[in-house]
Formats: sequence, structure tokens, C-alpha cells
Amino acid sequence: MFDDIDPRSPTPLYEQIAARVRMAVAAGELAAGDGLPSVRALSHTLRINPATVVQAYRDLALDGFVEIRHGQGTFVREVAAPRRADERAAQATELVRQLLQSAARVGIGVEELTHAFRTEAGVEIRE
Amino acid sequence: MYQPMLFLHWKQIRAALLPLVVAAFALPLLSVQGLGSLGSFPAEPIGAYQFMMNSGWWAPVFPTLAAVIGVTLALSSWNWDHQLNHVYALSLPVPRWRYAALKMGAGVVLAFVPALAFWGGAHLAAASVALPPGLHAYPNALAVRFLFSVLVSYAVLFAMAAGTVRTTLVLVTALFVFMLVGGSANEFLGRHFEYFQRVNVVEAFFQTLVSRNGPFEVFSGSWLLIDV
Amino acid sequence: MNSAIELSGLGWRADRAFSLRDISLRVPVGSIYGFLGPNGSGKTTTIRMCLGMMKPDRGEIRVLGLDVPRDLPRILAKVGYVPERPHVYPALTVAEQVRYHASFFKPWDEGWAKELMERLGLDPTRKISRMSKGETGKLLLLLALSQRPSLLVLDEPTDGLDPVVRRDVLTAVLDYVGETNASVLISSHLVHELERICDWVGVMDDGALIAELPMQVFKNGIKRIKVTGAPVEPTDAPFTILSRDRANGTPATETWVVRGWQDSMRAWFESSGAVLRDIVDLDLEDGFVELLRSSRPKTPYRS
Repeated sequence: MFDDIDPRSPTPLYEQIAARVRMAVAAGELAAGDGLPSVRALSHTLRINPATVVQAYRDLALDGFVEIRHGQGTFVREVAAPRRADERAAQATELVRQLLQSAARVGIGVEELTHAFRTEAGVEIRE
Repeated sequence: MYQPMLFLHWKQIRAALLPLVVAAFALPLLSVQGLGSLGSFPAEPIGAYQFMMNSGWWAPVFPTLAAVIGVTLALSSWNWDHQLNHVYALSLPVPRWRYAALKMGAGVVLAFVPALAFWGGAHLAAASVALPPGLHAYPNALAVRFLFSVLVSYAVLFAMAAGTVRTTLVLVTALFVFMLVGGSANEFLGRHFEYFQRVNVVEAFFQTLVSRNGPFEVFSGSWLLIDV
Repeated sequence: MNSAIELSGLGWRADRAFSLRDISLRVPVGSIYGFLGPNGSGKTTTIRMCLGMMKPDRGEIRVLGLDVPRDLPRILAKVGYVPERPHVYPALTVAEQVRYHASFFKPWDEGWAKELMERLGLDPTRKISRMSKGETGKLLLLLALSQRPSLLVLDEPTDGLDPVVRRDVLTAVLDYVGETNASVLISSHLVHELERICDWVGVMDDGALIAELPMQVFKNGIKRIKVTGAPVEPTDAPFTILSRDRANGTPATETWVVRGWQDSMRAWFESSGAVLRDIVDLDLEDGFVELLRSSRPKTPYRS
């Protein structure tokens, strides 16, 4: 699940991890009650500072996505549907923002993007 | 801390220790070779004379061996640390003086091994010959003298072995220069100052070292196993 | 005590060619501090001074709240040190070396030592002189960790080790830190390794500490930006320009590498008349290289 975590990206690692978990919950990959990898296991797998994992989990707990049970681990909480929808919307916005940025870098305009979208996704984009 | 230090020193000296122990045991025995029954004929004055000649001949060998053992102990104390540039020793949470003291303590214990071998050999040697009247064997005194000589040479060279090779070379060179040049310098100074006509500084220096209160006193005493 | 290591104004002159100049460095407690710099920049010398193995000409050194060299034995009891060159006795076996080391440290974790020996795949009966570089590196780490130190000082601990061993070494360190909140100073020129694990980074070059800041700020703060219409001397820029390259052909577009970038600085471009075309993130390695390049005197063949 955490294969995309990129230490070279300017986004802090703890943010990347938290974002991934949030997305997984929003998409239904993680259901309420599922356990997240232990701090030690995740820091092993990703070869990162355990403090980073702890920070990610704490942020998630503050946001209400997970619950940290001392001695047992970190578990996904029940997140209401509207909240999950918000999360998905935020993710989609972010993806589009990145797309637009990359396109601008090589000089591709919205028109061309729209055309490509049509052919790829078979979707009409309203102006 | 002490036990592993002892183990470490033992490992460093292990290869050299066996021949030294054998030598320490064998030398007293060799020193009475061929003297077996000379004392059985009490009327023969030649027997006693031969004993004394023999003893006198062997006398310098024992302190030489003691010095060799002392040198070996000193060098093997610090050999491995030198190879590591002392980095390991410096990273240990022990004050340097204490580290050195522990090391020296380990060497002192190891010094007893060849000393005991010598003591055994001396006793065996003394028991294996019939002594002419008027002559006695002093295996215990000799063994004690041997042990102290080993300890003294170890202690003196311990400090030098801890230093760099350069400091050792400097000290040894200085000593040589002193010995070579000191004599002529003394003579030259003697033409101008009456003090130097009476006293030869080089001789006096070495004399003090081996005299009653000097550090090397133990080397200059009697090394005769068999004496009057 | 909020610093594991605190150096103020450290200075030392080796010879005409090399000196340490005014090193002031701080490793916060519980952090993993990456000590970066090219070979010969003075990292090992600085580390040796922290551990009392070399004496500086001037400056103060405090480790774990205690003074070097006055409280040195007390400090060394709590510092696990993995040096550049292995300091174990080659003629001993692994088990003998561990026993020797253990005798000097009171809170020695025998169980942890045994566990590490298994995890790192070390054979206790093996003679150290017969071990490969990787195995020796693992042994050094085992010795340092089993002391249960409050501070780990690792000088190029993974240098010359294959990737598998490197991972073993790093995960062992991370496990320990996770359990104990120990502080770590790890010096390396393998930037990618440090990127994942360090919270702080200090960059040394040619005897001086040219940067010290949180890893995140360092990574985020160095960007490559494309600018058109820039003034010849941008005097009041809120960021530091590390380098400027004028692209051939497009006379007005320049590529700047800047340090200390924050998003709010886009506003400066509006006021200065220059136009910000693009911002490219640099990873730690690129940022590190740019920082070093800019801190060195310009070579004749650069524009």
C-alpha cells in the first residue's frame, strides 16, 4: 500500500503516509477496524525514521481517521460517508492540479488536455 | 574489565610465551650440566672451583633472559592497540591512567608464569647435583631476583611501548648518543673543570642505575645459583 | 539538556592546507542528524573532537550536557561509536570481542546483543581477521548498540557495504531509536540513505559548516526556478541565489538555483519585474550538490 512513498519528494514523508491512508479509507481500501502496520514494521519496510511514522499516525488520529490504542496498535475508525467523499474530492483536485502544472511546464494548454481526456476517458468535459 | 584485559594480553603474547617459559625452565638446568657428581668427592678441591667457574659463566644469562621476557611483555601489551592507532582504547569509557594500570596489572600476572617456570627449573637443578662442602644452592633467592628483574624491565619498557615508535627511537638514540659522546665530552670538560676530572658522567649515570637505590639494582646483584 | 551534541566556535588548524573554521553545530536530543559533506571536508575530524580523541585549538564541546574533555569517561559510557576504520582486534573471535567490549559498559544488554547477532547473521566463533568488510561493519554496530547508548555516533557506517548489509545496519539503528529515543549523528556522503531517516542535516565543506537546518526545510527550500526578464543584479531577493545559468538562445530566460525558498516568495517576482516561469523540486542529492558548488570559489570555465 505504501509503495508510492517517495523520500525525494518535497512533501514531508509523514504527510505522504497520512495522505495515503486517508485516500485508502476514502476509497474503501481500508475499512473501519482494520489495523495499520505497526510503527516498527512500517519504519522497517520504508526504511524511515520511526518518529516519522509516529507523526503520521498522530496526524491521522487528530483528523479522526484512526485510533491509536496503546500497546495494541493503530486502527482505522469509522469515517462518515460525506467525510470520505470530501477526501476523494480533495485528492481529485490535487491530481488535476499536478496534471495542469506538468502540462504548463511543457506548454500544453487546457484545450489539448480536454481533447486527450475525451479520447482516453471517453468523457465530455463541459466548459 | 580486568579479566578481559588479561585475556587480551595473553592472546597477544601467546605465541612468544611458550618458548620463553621453556627457556626459563631449561636455563637453570643447563647451567648445571655436567656438574652432576663433581661434588661427590669432597676431597677434590677442583670440584668446587669448577662449580664456581660454571656458575660465574652462567650468571649473565639469567638477567638477560629476564630482560627479554620483560621486553616481550611490554611490547605485547601495546602491540594490538598500536595497530588500531589507539582509537579503540580512546573510545572506551575509562580514564587513560586507569586503562594503562589495568594493562600493566595484566602483564604483572603474566610475568609470574615464566618466573614460576624458572623457580621450578632452579630447584630441579639444585636438587640434581651433589654440592661440594662449602657451597650452597640458592634457587629461591635466584628465582625471586629473576621475577623482580622481569617486573622491573617490564615496568620501565611499558611506558616506552605505549608511546609511538618515534618516541622510543628518540629515547634510544639519545641514550646511544649520550654513551658515545659523553665520554669524550667528559674528557673535554675535564680540562677546564676539576669536577669532570674526578667524575665520568656516563659511568656515573649507569652506576646510579644499577646501584643500591637505582631502578636496575636488581640486575646487578648476584645471579649465582651456586655460591659459597 | 536539549542538545545531544553542542559545538561552539570549534577551530583547528592541521596545516596550511586544511583547517576547521568556526564550527557551531547542534544535534537536538532524540533527533537523527545527518552529517553530510564530501570526503575531506572535516566530518571525521569534527566527530573525533566530539569524542575527545583530538583536541581543538579553540571552541567548546558539550556532549549529552557534559563537557569534553573534562567529563569524557562519563560521556563515552553513554556514546556508541562506529568509526570509519574498524576498531576491533583482528585476532579475536566475535564472541571474544563482544565479551571484551561488554566488560567496559555497565548497562550492557546481553539479550539485545544476542538478538542482534542473529539478526545481522554474525557467527560468534568467527575470527575477525577473516570477516568481510560488511560483517565487520555489522559487528561494530552490534557493539555500539548493545551498550544501550543515549547517543549514537556513526561515521560512514555503511561505506563500502553492499545494499543488503546497508539495510540491515540502518534498520537496526532505526529500531533502536524507535525504542529508546536515542539521538543519532550519522555522517555519510550517501545522500539518499540519509534522506529517508534524518530530521536534521548539517553540511560540511572544506572545514566549514555551510548549512544546518531541518531536513524538510532543506529539501523544500532548494528549488530550480526558471525566470525571464530578471534584473542583472537582483539585490533584494528574499531567497539566496546559489547559481544562475543563462540559457543559450533564449536571451531572457535564466535558470536559477535558489535556497531558502518559500511559496510566499512568488510575490517578489511581481514587484521586481521578473517573471517566474517554473519551479522544479530538487531532491536532497541535487540540492546538496548545488549547495556545494555555490559555496566554492568559481572555477575559470564557468559563466
